[in-house]
Amino acid sequence: VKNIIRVLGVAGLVIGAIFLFTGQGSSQRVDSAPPKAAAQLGGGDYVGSDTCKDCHEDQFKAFSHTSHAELTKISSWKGKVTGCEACHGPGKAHSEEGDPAKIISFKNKSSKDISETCLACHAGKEEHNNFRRGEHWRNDIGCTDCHSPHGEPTGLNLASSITFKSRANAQKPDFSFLHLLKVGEPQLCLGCHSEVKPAFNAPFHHKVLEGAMKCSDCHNPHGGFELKQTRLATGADAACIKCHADKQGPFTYEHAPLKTEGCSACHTPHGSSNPRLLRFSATDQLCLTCHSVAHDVGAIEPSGPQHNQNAQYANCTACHVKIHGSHTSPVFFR
Amino acid sequence: METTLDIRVAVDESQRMEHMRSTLEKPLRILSGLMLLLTLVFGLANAQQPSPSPSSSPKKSEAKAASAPIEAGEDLGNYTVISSFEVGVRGLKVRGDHNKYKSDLNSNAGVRLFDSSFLLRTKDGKGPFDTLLATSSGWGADPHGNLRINVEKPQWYRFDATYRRFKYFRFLNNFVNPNWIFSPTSFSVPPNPVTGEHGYNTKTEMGDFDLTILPKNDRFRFTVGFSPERYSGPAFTNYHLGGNEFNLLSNLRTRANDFRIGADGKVGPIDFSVMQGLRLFRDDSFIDLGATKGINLNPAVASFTSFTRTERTRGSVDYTRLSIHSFVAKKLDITGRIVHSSASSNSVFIENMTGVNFSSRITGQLAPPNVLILGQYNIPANVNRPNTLGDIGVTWFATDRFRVSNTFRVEDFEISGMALFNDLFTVSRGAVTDTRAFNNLNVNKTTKYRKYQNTLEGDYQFNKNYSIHFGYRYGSRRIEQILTGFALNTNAPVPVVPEDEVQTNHTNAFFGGFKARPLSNWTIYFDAEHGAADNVFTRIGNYNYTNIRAKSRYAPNRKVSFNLALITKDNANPSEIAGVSLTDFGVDIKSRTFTSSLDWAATPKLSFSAGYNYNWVNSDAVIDYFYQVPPAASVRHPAGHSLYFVRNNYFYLDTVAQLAPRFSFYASYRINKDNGQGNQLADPTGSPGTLISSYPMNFQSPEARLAIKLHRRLDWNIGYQYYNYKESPIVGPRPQNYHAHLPYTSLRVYFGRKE
Repeated sequence: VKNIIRVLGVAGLVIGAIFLFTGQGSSQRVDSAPPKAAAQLGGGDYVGSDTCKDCHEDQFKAFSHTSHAELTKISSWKGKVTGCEACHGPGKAHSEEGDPAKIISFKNKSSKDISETCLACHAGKEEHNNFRRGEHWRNDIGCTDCHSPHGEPTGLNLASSITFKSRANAQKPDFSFLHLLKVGEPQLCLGCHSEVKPAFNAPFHHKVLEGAMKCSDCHNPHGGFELKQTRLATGADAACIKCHADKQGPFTYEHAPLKTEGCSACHTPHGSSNPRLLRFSATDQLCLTCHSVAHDVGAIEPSGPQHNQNAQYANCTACHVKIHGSHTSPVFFR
Repeated sequence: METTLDIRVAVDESQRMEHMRSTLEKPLRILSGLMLLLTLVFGLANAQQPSPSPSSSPKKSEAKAASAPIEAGEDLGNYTVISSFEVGVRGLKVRGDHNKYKSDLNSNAGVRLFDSSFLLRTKDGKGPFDTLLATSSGWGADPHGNLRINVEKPQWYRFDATYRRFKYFRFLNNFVNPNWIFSPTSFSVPPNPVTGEHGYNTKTEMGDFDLTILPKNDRFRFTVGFSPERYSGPAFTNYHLGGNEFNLLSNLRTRANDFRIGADGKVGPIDFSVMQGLRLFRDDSFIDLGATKGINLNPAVASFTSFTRTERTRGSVDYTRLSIHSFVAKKLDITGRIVHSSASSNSVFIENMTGVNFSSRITGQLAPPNVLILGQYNIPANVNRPNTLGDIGVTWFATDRFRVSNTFRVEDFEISGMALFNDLFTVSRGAVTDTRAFNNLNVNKTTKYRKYQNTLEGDYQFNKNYSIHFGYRYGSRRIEQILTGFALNTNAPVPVVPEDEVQTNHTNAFFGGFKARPLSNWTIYFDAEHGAADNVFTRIGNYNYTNIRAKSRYAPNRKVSFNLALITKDNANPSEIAGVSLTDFGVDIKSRTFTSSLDWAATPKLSFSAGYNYNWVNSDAVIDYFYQVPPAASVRHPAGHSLYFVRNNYFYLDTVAQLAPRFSFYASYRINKDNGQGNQLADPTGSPGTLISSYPMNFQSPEARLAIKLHRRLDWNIGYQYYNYKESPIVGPRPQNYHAHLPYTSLRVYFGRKE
């Protein structure tokens, strides 16, 4: 703990020094926030969203139902540009001359540049803090690859699966509508991550396609410090613990991988043919992969003939029932 | 409890047929009634609709409706409502293994609310909320139901609630089924291949309720949250005691409540977020055999005449999270986070048993035949686990196109457990009674963990179409395990020689990749990573891996998109542990995943989506194991290989067609077909020996649905789902194959439906 405090202390000093010596943290931050509403302040190049409406009626109509449009009502946003010009910049020249070059367009911007526009407001939230170091950023996936800042879902409610969650549409809105997603989960995520589809169609799987869970229940699509951008459960525990509370422990005798390696050391979280979502179909082979001490190092090896793999003891968890952890048995018998 | 026991017992074919008939009769009766009702409604709706369908040019208007944004919504005072819900009835007919069907799917026949969506949106900003959205699915006859609610008035509050319920039923013959491969003739209990010994029929309910005050405020936001979780139900477990194995029915009952409060906002240039949480956990599971004697697989040796166990556990996790973020001069993005949690668990394990013919390994000296007058364990335990996690991520925008990031992490935790053992055994044999007991013998187990990890990476953007990234990761991990106290595996415990084992790893990894858009409608993603990581499957050694991922997305126009991906993972362990060569101690896991998909909106009225995936896994671990070839009493201890194979093909096809203005049709087909190990057979007595496993099976599910628009407010749906599961005979003692037919009919009712 001392070392951690030392490291964090040093980090704090470094950050402090940066602020001190750059001497422009505060003023620059204002720059990255939405610009002042010059139009509302009595002049400038901002004309307000109503002017945009004259030509871009469909976009305006869709936008007016979004949470972005709500900002005008909020006191802390008074005096700041909201609406179309918050992202597209001042529209006076564009509206007067009708020249597409006189307004900020995102058509020719890179994903990262587009994302920077969004991050000007959204970066400070815990959920988005690590976007600039996340997997999506790294692979040049930007905000508008998933979100539609203008709109709400469209489309008819046609026939669809009774089991698997169908796409949201204008007649059946879901939470994608609130988060301005282009398509609801899980379809949005599976559009790129199609490699996990078979797992979610395996006999045992987490009920994501059925709509009872969402990809974002376990993963933070906006980045994070954790591997695979998983979320943390209570404190610093793995995301799995949020629902599987009985595995949280701590246990007097804890199966070491539970906390040191994580659940995925033995389980495949998305889905599997194997019972209990185990990595292997035969429990003994899964266990022996670690508990096989050819040279007297590593995890404890099953001893003697009572672990005959040709007998009932091939089912390791038949006896080692409390395999995640026990308060009374070092070998997890009870 | 009786019901559960019944489930576990083999159900013969005639019972199954009877069960099927009874399962089907009622829903089918309801189904036919509903059909009649629907026919009436349909007729009535047609009669009452003045001009339900577009008059002169239906095709044109339908096409427009499908392509243009739809103005949905119906006035309700100051609000606009858009809502629909689907309610109906489903039939069920299962042939084959019911236990496996219920373990996989567990959908029942009956009336159910298939799904619902309800959105209220303000028109003028007045009223207690601006939006209210509630969605649900799977209520009634489904094993998984969920309800999500969001209520929001952005300038004041946002309330998010989720409630979910899952029913778990697992009785499988290929899991924890000792009799599958072990059924000596001397046992009076016949081999029972129907299910394994760890079946359960449990239920989890969980919720998340979060209130955010001033959710859109640019300066401060406050949050309070509550997440309850309840888990309960009967479950079979085993008790391995002194060489005997008892099968027990336990009653699981755990609950957790997570409370949290937090704030986030901005002070000067710093965005901050702080959260304080407390999770309380309790476990009140118990076992009470009552009048039912414990089942011992070998009753000639030992059996219970009574047995009770409670392990009252109370746990808590007190946790604090602080995050800060700043973007300095539009050049430096800094995020820091520290999470500290303090988890504790207190339990008292109390077990009382009586029985006959107990092994002297448990009871002391009196060998069977004997009577266990009383066996008793009383073991209080106390465990603490402080855990600290610190992260700092810094991204420097060196130029408009070049960025460098560094992420540093340190994690530290220590699990300190202490249990105090009190054992008592009183055994009689004939006139002799012997009592063995000890009190207050402690065991202390400590695990200390610390890991540092640093990732340095950069990315360069050539232009909007091309970018690359590259990086290096270093990790250092130290785990120490300490054991002191007494060895309690006999009734004559002795102090253990204190154990203190330390394992240290240092790992390095390099990664890189690119995004390329050679054409405006074709994007390629590629990344690769090579290095070493900590992994349990290499015991204590580093884990050399090479992972490659390539994805291609081609969308020649708005109607078609074609995706391809290839993911390879090679995880080998050719390194060295403790000076020992790993040529005979290695683990080698390779996987190859190919995935493809095609989405095609042929016309506004017809769309297809199809895909094919292939997943190939080879796992080869060098192991040593004990193996006995009956009837010879020779136990071998060979070194060999543990092999595991996956050869899974997955294909799906979805299609949606608007057959006529009032008729739309959906059909899909999905199949997972795993060929597993193919013709390879295990050779446990070979030199070297091999243990082989895989799960060859075939799981397919076609589905079709016809939706008929009866009225602006009403659709009638009829549909059918079919599941066919078939597994190879090598998977278990008897293939758990089944076919399930699930016809249904339903009505979807709309409010605010406009076209």
